[in-house]
Amino acid sequence: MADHDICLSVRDLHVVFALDNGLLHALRGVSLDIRKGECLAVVGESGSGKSVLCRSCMGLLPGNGRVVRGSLLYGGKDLLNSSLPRAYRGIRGKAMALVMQNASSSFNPVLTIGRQLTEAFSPSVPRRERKQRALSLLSETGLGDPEKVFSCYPHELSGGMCQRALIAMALAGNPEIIFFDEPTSSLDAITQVRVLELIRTLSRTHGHASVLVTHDLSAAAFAAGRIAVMYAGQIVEEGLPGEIFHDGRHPYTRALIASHPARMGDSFSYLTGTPPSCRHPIRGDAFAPRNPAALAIDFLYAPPYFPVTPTHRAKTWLLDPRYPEALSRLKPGHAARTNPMAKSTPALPAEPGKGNENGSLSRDSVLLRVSDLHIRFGRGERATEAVKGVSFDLREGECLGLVGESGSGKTSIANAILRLVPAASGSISYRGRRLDGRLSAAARQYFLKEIQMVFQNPAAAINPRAKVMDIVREGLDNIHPELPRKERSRLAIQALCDVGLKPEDAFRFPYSFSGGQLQRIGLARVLVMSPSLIVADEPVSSLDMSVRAQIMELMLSLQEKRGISFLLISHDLAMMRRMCGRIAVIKDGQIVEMASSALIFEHPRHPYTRALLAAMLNPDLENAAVKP
Amino acid sequence: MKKTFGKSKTKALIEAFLEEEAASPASNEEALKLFVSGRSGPEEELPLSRAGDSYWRGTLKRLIKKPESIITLGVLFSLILFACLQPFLPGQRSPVTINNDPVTGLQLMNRRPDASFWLGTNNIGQDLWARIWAGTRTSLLIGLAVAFFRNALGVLVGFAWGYIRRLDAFFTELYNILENIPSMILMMLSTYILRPGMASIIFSMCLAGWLGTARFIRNQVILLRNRQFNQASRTMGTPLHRIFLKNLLPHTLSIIILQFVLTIPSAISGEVFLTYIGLGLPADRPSLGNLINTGRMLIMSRSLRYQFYYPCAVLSIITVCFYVLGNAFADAADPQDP
Repeated sequence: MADHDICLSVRDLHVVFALDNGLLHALRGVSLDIRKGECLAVVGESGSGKSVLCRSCMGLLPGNGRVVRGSLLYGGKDLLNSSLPRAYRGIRGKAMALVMQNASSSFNPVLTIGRQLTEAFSPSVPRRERKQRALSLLSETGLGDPEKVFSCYPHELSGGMCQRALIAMALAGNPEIIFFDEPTSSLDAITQVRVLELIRTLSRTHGHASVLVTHDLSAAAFAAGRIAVMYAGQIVEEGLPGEIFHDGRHPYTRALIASHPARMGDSFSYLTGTPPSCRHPIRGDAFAPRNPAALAIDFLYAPPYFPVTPTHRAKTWLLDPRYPEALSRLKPGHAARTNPMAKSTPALPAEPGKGNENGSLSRDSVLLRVSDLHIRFGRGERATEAVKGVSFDLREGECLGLVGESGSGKTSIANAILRLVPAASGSISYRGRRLDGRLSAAARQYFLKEIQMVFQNPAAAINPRAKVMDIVREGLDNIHPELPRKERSRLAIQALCDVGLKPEDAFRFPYSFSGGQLQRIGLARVLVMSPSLIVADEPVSSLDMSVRAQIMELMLSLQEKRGISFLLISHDLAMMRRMCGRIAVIKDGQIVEMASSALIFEHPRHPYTRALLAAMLNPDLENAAVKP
Repeated sequence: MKKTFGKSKTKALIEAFLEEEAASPASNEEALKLFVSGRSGPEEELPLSRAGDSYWRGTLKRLIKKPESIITLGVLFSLILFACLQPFLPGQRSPVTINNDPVTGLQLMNRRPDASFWLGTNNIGQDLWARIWAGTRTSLLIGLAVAFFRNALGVLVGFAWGYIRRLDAFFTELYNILENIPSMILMMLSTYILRPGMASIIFSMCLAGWLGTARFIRNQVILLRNRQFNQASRTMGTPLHRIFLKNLLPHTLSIIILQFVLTIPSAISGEVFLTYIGLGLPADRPSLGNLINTGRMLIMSRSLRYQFYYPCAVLSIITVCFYVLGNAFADAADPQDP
């Protein structure tokens, strides 16, 4: 690639944040070229520094962050040398624009969209023309009725429409580069695809470069022409999508692709551990502690970039030209050894939860029966019906999936089973006993022991000001107060060990755990009550992608070892395919299709199921990578 | 507190950070040896805690960073300690003894401060120094008692009011009715009916204030009530008292303590007010209220004005200190406070 193609060049960028008790090295030497008109995806987990990269390019670091080394070359000038904030004034919005995360909160709620959009034009655009231009931008971003959107207030638009309006606003200054910071993370699956398509098309029609920051590999595969993988404040690999997905060289890239639910075939490959904390200096390759095949040198020295092809480079010692030599010197005949990248467990003996595929059930094995369930919110005329006549059976030891968009009523069903919301009509019975309506204290106690729930966001569902021991023991204290306290504590510690935590973790506070560890705690506090049915509401959607597979694996093994039945609620079809024997698709409070997961994926009948499957962002990453 | 860059210590820290990460193999030979599987470097010690201090330790740290909280804490501590120890010190007079001149046998009325009566005497010859400390003890006792009872009741009702939806309408109506009676009138009437005394003053001041505290706590609880960890506790069948104790209390403790600290000065001045309108403690029980009230009547006489100034000074110090401390605590208790 010729040099004149490059519009922004990031060179060895180091960003440090000053925190209460020390420093956080958020970017540890990032070098990246953004070429004119390309769509570059920066993929990384939370805390890998991808948003910080955007913000430092835009000169928008918060007050306690500082670029301590490196340069940002734009148009032959180093933006970091011009220490005046004025220097950036000519660049933000005009040369570079940022589309922030969570579109609906990026607008001022008391001004109309049109007012905020016309504000974004440069002063050289005559006032009279602005409205016309704004309307054309709105229609270009696929908003059906631009006139109406123009005079709307932000709360009157849906999340997807807000995102489109925000993109229109970024286009107003006609920038050379647009940074999209997680543009799809708060949107529905179907809307996600449409927004990504929009980003792709606009890049082509307007000729600006797009930098798509995302944690979602499949989104990157769908929209980007080039992908950079970030880990612990560094870009560990960079290349064309095909090169990244077929020929990933860095162990992290490979492990990440392997732990994508769509890639998980018969065997579960997953990453162990959690990303490192950038609060302490990291020696060597940041990924080494999580890499079972790490080399000794990985722990001591950070690898440089090694080119694979002119467009593909990776930061790993495996590519060092001396590596094969060293191998052959050490153990002759061992040089061809491949690197087992991530831990692979052998294929599970039987597909869990996939009982008889035809769905013929014998009456006595039904654990939970929901029939003609209606749930209403509000009273009188303003009442809305969230669930409109849902019926399904859940068999013993089965994992049943409920799939649907947000607002489809799936969480209301879970809440009704947990007796958190009352059913308007219909019935829910567990092992033949009604669990809705008024219950005696004994019956309540019985259902308490039998049915438990795992929540979506462990950070919110765990009391941040209680010790882990208290959190895990809470349910046990309620259902077995007769046991001595010591015994209850012992069972709690046992449960912590069962989910892969250490006994000493019981005496720490939740803030010292990562999201994945918190979800393990969330599982432990349910397991300690030894329920027969666990209702899991989006159990992994708030977790980082490298940790998701760990939690799913844990749930699968629990299902297998203890025979616990799961009712799994999610919008993530790829995860469902892996976990569930049967899947029910819910739309607007009704089940539109229910079948074994193989049938759903291969022969979807209902058009909505087909739409959902189409919106899965090409789970087959290989096909996604070779697109026109 | 956000640290600023440019401090030499911070700079050195950043340099150390960058240097440690930038190490590269010294020689080709060394690198070749290291291309083997497995760990050869030093075993890393992972720090146990990732997010720093616990909530309370952080609050304490932020609190003692503020100079005003150190000063007020010191002043209050020494004031309370001295007020408690004063009767046991040598050479102290009783606050109620009427001192007579040993020669003439007359009362030593309105003696200006001198070596034997450090702050002078009042109009019947009682030692003002001793009376002020006795009054401080009484007033602090009233302040602490009111703060305790008012907040204990207020927190309990506030939790129930905020968390149990069925009770909301009832308590809101009760609040609407009771809060529209001026609290001064409520306080005056109840002390009048119960006859002035220590207990009735404490009772009437609690009566006038508990609902306001409850309302304040209720608003905080409503913010917490729908947090998911409460929902999780409900699905695990946790009884109400445990939800109050383990889920709500730790999240509201900082504002409860703030309320407590701020109630003390307001209760002390409430007592001063009641005494001012003649419903305070009987004159034989010295309190800052009746000392100030006596002094107030003498304010027009230049030579007797000291009887007003000294108790006022003590009252001001106590009130200001508790107030400043309360606000400093409120700031420190908010982890987002820069």
